[in-house]
Amino acid sequence: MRIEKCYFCSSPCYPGHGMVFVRNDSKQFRFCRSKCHRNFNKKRNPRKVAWTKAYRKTRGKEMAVDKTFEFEKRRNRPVKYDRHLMGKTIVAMARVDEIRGAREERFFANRMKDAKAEKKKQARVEIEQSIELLAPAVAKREEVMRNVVDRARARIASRKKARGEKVETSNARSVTATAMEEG
Amino acid sequence: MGNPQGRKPGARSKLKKYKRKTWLCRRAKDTDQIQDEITKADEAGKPIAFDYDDELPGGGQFYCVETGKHFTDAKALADHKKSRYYKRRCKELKEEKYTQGEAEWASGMTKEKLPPAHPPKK
Repeated sequence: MRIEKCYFCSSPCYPGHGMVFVRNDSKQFRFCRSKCHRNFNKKRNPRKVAWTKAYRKTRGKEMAVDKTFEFEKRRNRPVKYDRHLMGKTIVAMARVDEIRGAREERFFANRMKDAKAEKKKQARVEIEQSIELLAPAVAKREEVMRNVVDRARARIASRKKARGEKVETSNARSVTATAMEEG
Repeated sequence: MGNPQGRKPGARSKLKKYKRKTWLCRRAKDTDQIQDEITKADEAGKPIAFDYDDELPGGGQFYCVETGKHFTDAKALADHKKSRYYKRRCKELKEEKYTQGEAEWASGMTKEKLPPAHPPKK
């Protein structure tokens, strides 16, 4: 029993899952799910479809060169059963997995090292390039903010009036505040 | 109001299009098949040509290698070679062939290399 890899997305095809397409030149194509089969039918190149492993590895989005990939192999010559070797292999499998996971994490961290700064830089450039689009929106925002502040002041004044406090003082203060803002 | 079948007219036309395109009897040649054909022809040093065949369009004399299609006459073939479909196909053919081996490499599986079990006798 062998768990084959999907032709399109390179994920494992477990028994009872997916399907095999045999082309009229007797070449076999194994698919893990109907999504991959449909994409194959549309004659798409897996190297150009962003969610496949082939795309991610060829573009350097995932670790592609590493010693831990030396373990999983298509072996066409059977190994003679050896209880001791079997036990060691099972222990080693977990350890290899652990090491590869750590290395993948490190690879990702290294790849994303400058991502945040780069994104900020790009955003700044975009704003600079299309500032004329932003100007009316900013003006409108200021106007809205002014309206909000005015309304809030009016509300405070009315509340104070209801409480019987002196309204004039607060009004005077607000007037001076606006004057300061403008001046 | 509505269609007696309970769906909008033409709602399934997209699905039908997909189905018709993927019928096996209509299946066009894959890119890797054509790439194989071209390399084979190059190795043999002979262009891909057909003997006269009544059942093929144009008797099989107007064949487009890159798309694997027969045309009725020289004009149809020339028009086809101007088309977007043809140009796109030519571009695809220049790329490296995608194989199961590459899919396995992408999943982290390599092929075991051993000395031959039955070395050739001298």
